Amino acid sequence: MLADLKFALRQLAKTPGFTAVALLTLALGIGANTAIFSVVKSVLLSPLPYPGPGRLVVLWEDETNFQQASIAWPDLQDWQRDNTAFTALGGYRRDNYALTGRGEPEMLRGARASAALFDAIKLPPQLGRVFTAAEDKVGAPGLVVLSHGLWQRQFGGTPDALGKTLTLNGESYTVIGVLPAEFGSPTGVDFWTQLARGSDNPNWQNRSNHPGIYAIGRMKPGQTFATALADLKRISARIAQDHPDDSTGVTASGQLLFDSTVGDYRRGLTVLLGAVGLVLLIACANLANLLLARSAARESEFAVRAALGASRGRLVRQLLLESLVLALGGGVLGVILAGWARSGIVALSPAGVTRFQQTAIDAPVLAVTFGLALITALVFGLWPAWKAAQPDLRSSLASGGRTGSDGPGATRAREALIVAEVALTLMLLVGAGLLLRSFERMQTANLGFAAHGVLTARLSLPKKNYGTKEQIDTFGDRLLERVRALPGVKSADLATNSPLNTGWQTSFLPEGHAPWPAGQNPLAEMNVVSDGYFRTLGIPLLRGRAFGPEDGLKSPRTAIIDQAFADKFWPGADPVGQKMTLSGDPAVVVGVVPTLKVYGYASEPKLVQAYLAARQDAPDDFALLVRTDGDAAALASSVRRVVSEIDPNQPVWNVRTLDDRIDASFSTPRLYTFLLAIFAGLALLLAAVGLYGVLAYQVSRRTREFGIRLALGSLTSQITTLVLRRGLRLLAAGLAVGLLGALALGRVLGTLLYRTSSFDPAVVGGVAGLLGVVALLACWLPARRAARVNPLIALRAD
Amino acid sequence: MISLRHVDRVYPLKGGPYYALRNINLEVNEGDFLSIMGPSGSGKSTLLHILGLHDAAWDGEFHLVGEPVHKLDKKKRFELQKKHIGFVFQSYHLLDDLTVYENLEIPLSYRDVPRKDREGIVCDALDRFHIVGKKDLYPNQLSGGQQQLVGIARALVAKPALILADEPTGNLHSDQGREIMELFKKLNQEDGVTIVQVTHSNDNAGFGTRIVRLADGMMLK
Repeated sequence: MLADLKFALRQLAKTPGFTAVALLTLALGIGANTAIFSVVKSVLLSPLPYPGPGRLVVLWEDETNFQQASIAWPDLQDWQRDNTAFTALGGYRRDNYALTGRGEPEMLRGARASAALFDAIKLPPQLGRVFTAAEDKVGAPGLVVLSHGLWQRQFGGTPDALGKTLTLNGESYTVIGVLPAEFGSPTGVDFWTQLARGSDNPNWQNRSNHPGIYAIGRMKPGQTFATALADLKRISARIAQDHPDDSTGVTASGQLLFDSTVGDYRRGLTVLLGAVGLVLLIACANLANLLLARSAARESEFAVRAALGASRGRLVRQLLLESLVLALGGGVLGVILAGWARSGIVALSPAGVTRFQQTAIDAPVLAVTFGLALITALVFGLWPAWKAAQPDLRSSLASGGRTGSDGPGATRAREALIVAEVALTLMLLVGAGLLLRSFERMQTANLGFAAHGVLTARLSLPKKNYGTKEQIDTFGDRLLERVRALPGVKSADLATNSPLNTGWQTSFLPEGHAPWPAGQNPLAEMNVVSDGYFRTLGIPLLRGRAFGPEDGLKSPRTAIIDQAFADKFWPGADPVGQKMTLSGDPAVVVGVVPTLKVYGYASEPKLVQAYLAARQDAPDDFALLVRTDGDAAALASSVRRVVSEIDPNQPVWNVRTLDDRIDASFSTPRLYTFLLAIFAGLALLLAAVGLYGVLAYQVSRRTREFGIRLALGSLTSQITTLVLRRGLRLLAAGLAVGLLGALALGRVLGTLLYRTSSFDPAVVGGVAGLLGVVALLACWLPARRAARVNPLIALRAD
Repeated sequence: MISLRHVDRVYPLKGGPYYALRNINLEVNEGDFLSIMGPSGSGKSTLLHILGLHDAAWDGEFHLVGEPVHKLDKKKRFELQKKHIGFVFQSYHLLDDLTVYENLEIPLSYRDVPRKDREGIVCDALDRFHIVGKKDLYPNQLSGGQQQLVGIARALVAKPALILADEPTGNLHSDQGREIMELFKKLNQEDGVTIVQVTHSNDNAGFGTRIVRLADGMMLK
């Protein structure tokens, strides 16, 4: 074995060109697989860091006209009391809190949670304790459990944090514990405080109100997701029976917490894993081809070895050892490449998704890599080794291995590999082309507003300091006045929701319309905006007017609706002047604007849209939108300064341009598109090298034949055509097979595509053309060499 | 040692079967030095490859050291070949990437001779053929005669009872050819190695004890 290993190393060192190409091919194939597998492992395969993670579910309520609504507070209490499927079931609601009194005011992301949430997740605190059910009630003192990150940031990670107080939204909260870094439910939260403590809010008692509460439950042993959900649906049915006005059509829904955490990435990452698998297959096909050619050149050696007593197994072992050395070398280089690629992928990955950031080339990934290297060695090495290990002793020994051409079997084998390579490459190119086309359409999608030149910032005024409409209005007026006075600012406005932010939905009833059947009331996507909001966002007014000073508190409540609203409820009529009940109060329509893609390019608006005037509503949690002719990002510090001058204790956060936020919403498709394009490029390169290699090899084996043909009077163009025809035949076969594969791949990509058919003719035609041109070049080079054969030299070599 | 009875080697061609060998009956005894002669295409190399068990597609009966080759499966034929036959080729067929020492070691490693034993056997062979000084050289650093010397040493290193040589001096000039043939003669006479060679040369055939002539695939009386 040692002698065989020594010989294998010597053979590889003797042919540095072959070895380098083989190692690079393997490194690219294995490296791409290692990098993507490390991401897949971190994002899709690693279990949630909680005990019994498979038993955790996240829960919400579905309504007839709205999926994934939050849970009505009384419904949650009924679920908690009456379920038989969960050992613990706790609610949570995300909220923003202004942290003051500790230097610069800071906006923190908090979660108001039931004590049962911690019982469900079962991850003990790193320090101190979590609150109990007895402490989670109206009138209880405010308690907070810090996230690991906030503990480090605000208290330097010292145990002294326990017992300290934090001023959040002007209220004092006592720190009672710190949760470990891996506790991430809900994600991105700085601290947890009691949920029920604020449940005296009258709105919460209304079952038709869904105040942003979701829940996490731990299923009892023996329960499946289906049986546990059925248990909650049983309770929902009873609630709907008892409260038909509020709860008809409302039912419990949810999914496994793991699926909820990674579900968005499963298809994309699976496609990428498939893509790198194809790249590795192409690399294997190339290497198998190289080894077949190499084996043919070493035919005489194997014949002699066989004649000297080497069994077939012994020859196969020796050749496989060479493949193994190559594969392990490729594996080592692949790991180095994967390390670099990992950094790039993490940098491109969606911000805030910690499972992407936790991607590492760790021991299990290395084990998979080298397992892959071994399998690769077998895949590309076994066939050539098997072929080489059964030499035709008679002819090999008689000719000294200098046969003029390979047998038809070997040629067919090499050509079949090339057809497979071309087909796989076309599939990858079509996949990448479709994603590129889709990405281009995302970026150029008309969202309905002019994002460029707009800076957005978020503010949440604490009720303790801004408890009245006057206080809120005064702050808002001063803020807008000062921001509008900043140099370069064209306009500035406020809205409860800036585009791409989750908004709120409410029911409505146009005047004269029959009341909706219970549970069938449609919802409108709502926004409360200041007078110049539409102008600031470049939204044209289609009918009527924008909000203005005439929409004061003493005036009738006014609303502006979108075109879809007008078309649906007042088709053919002028909606301006129409009346309706909106969110329980009367309102009159004063204007119509186009429908906006408020949640970005990816989701078509499902609900009609309506706007209320800030003058009549006074939101205390809002976005500031500032339009400038210049660099919107440059205004950030000025806006922060203005807020600080008006109220030094008022934090402002999420200060970003609208362009940035839209761009961030592309991060996941950008990652998939970028990676698939790289893999497709890699496949194209490998296929071109493969095609070139096979034809060049055939030309070198047929030099004598070409010499004879030329000596007999053939034109060089005829020789070129002879070689080209062979290459093009392989190309055509590969394209035909690849088109079938591309059809299947398009279906898999389906949901990842935006406004792009899974078999877009322009994309398929374009990439097939690209592959054709590259392949033609790969064929033309050996064809040219064949035509330049000197008959004298070729025949003398014989 | 070798007994062929009614051996035919037929190639089925479109125009009808082609007999490369027809009705070959041949006895080779232990200690014989047989030369097979004949014009090109007479079937002498075909016969040698059948004797060397490289070719299995023949009809008839073939006994080698008492074993009925025609009844043996592929694996057993291979074992028989490994145990009893050594080859010497016209083109030497040394393995270019191995040193002289390693070329001599290869047949032993294929016969699973332990490493420590291999060293002694190879050193004996190097000594016997006076090529100790060449042991670390590669084939392309040797003359044709030296390469064939190594080829013969390699054929003998596993101590086969039968050496098959296909035009062993075909690529050598006359002086070198004579030296090789004298070496064959010595091996045959002093060591009792049975040798079957294919040759075109009457001079070379003269070193042997018997001559068999072939023409058009048939043995001439």
